[in-house]
Amino acid sequence: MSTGFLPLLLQAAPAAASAGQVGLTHYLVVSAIVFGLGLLVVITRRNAIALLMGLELLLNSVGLNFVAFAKFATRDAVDGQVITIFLIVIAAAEASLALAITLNIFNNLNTVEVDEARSLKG
Amino acid sequence: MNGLFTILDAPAAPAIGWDDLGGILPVLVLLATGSLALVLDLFLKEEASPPVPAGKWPLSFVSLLGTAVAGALLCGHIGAAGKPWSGFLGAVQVDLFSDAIGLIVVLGAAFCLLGAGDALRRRGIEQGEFHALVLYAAASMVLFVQSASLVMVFLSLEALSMAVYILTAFQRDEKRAVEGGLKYFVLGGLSSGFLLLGLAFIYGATRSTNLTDIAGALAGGQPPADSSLLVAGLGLTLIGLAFKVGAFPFHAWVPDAYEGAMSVVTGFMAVAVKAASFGVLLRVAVLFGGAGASGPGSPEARGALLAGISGLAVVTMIFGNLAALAQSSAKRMLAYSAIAHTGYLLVGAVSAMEARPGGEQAAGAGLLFYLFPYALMSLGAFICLSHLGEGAEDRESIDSLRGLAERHPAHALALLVIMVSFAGIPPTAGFWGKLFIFREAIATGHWELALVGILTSIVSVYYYLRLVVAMYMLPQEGGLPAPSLEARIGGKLALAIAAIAVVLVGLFPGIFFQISAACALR
Amino acid sequence: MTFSDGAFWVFAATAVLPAAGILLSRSIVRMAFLLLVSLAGFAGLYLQLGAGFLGFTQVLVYIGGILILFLFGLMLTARFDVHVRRRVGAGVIVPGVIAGLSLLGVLVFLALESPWSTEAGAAAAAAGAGDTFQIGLKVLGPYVLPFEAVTVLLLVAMVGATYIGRAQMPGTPAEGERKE
Repeated sequence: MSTGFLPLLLQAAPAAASAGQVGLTHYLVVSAIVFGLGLLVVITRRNAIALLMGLELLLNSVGLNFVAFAKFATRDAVDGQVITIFLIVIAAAEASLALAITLNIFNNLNTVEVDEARSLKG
Repeated sequence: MNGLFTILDAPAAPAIGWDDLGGILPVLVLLATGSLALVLDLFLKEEASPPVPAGKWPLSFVSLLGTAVAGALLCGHIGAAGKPWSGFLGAVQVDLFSDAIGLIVVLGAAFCLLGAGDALRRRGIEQGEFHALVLYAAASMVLFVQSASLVMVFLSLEALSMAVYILTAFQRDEKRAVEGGLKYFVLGGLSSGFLLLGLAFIYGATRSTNLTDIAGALAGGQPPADSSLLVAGLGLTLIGLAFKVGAFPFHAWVPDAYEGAMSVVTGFMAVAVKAASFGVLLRVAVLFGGAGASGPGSPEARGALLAGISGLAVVTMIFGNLAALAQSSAKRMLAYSAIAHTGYLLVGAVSAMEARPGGEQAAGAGLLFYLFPYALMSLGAFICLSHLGEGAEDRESIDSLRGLAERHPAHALALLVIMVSFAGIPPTAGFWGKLFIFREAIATGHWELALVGILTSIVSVYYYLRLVVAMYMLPQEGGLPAPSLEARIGGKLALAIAAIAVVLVGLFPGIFFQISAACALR
Repeated sequence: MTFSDGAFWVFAATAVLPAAGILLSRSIVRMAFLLLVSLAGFAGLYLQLGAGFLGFTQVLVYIGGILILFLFGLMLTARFDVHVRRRVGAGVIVPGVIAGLSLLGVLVFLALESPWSTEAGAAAAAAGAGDTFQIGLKVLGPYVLPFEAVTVLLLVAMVGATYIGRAQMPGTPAEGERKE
């Protein structure tokens, strides 16, 4: 089965690969790492759009969690997918709103004196 | 029910019918009124607004009517003492508890709309969007408390949060408001992330999205598939909800968002967002950690929730009260005092977790009772700050309230009643609220929480009375313009109702406590 | 190791590595493009989990829609950064990073510690090809109220975004544009 170049290469992949088939644990670890990275982005960044990207990473990692749980742990795998579709909608709504607020701040700062803008830049 | 949904009949589709819509009628009324306000605004002439004091009165009238109808429906349901009803194939559960919290939410929306007419007109932004967003937010909050599935919990939470972010930044040409909105948005989004991950873990641990099913399985002695995952999920959910109610380590957004928003909106946030979030917090806490409800399901979950909520209660009470001492702005002081009251309400949540079904005290009676006068006091205080404002500014600093008793004795008296009640001085509503909550805490063996609560309440007397001293004993300072309040009927009405209701609840606490006990979670 | 497992590792790397890049990158535009790659990795993981409809929704809505929105936002505000915080000092970063890393540790520990089965649930196999049909039934069945709640959410976001985002040009009354 695994005679192609790519699978051969990946057989050398460390740790969990040797533990056997890819299962729920693998997905949960990926999701946990991305959640942590998203959290760190939100904590360390100052720019509003960068923060929003961190929030998008959080939402995605949760979505992966739902789909993986639904597939591996429950009787009905479609539940998780429906929930994740809702999450994508939430992400879209959040993005539009956040960008509206960001644009508004940008416009407000543009109309006031430059001093103000500089003070905000810290 | 045939016709619309027959298409679903193919693979044994369970039917959803008019009954389901009827069950969430208050929500539908609020949504419809919001959309109506949005459309109505298009037909109202702008010219009439600045010189004519009434402004776009049909907007306020229609939206207030909507809240009145929704409130009447909720009251009717409470009066009928209906059995818990579950609809939309288990997506919502309507019981007396959700009705009671919904009523407080609708009360918050009604007061906000009553005071908002003047506040918006002064700023030149009297637009249907405001009324629509308040009503949409209220509808989402009622749905939030009624949710019986994890999906409904986070969708309605997102909808209500988003409406409130926008309301915070509604003064869109005011830098402070928009920045407050952005900060609230970012921290709120982060907290939603935590809550969502928590719900995903609960889903993974219990294999179900339906809270009622989960509770049934746990109460039946069936342990969750994965206990540590359930505890982690509940912990993350608790963090997410603690953000929303503004408990101590997760309070960073509260002062900025409360200060940035218009005072009427601040009142709405302090009351409605908090009431709805506490409703869900209590439901989750009792479901997964209640003394009787969860039975032998998961003792770890109960221990973790009890420890978490008690810890939050203690630090929140201490932090909120100490931080409020240092404020020179009345609005910021009230924001920190809102954090302190979150602490007291958390004490109520802890004792609710100890209540046994069938016992003499239903779970959360104290918390429900406390929410009602707290709602009246907060709405009254924030609307008063807005009511006394001028132009785009609200009356925010404590110094600017100096000598208020001489110029506007009625307003000063109303604010005096509210402050005394906030401080919990004996014959007032606030006193009874604290008494019931602390009595419940002692009765369930959490005397240390009651002790911290009583000590911090004594501290709080200082900062509430500072405001009273400024109003009654200090001379007026500088040439602050005295706004003419003749035309501001809405704010006057709201303030009067709030103050009178606070007095009434203080005089007849028994009736209100009985209603709260009847509406508590079973 | 099967081909499918190999694909998992490729997609997982595609999802995680760009996310780390976002954390470390200095340029906001580069961050946006890294986000694109990461989201594509997630789409791959969804496909890997047998969620075909979801995977393509992810590509269409997230990568096609939301990310374009991000780029618009970036282009419109590119002249200077809109900062949420004044300055992120060590007082925030150190406890924040510690808290973040410990949470990460707990999450990974939880995932590894549980004795998960590697076999999909019984229904998962049945879903497979017909998952769009299944999703449709779910959305009009038990998820009909959540679906309606989502419409409320979108309505709120739409009303709010158009209200807040309507630019306030100096000298132009706010109502001017409404009357057009």
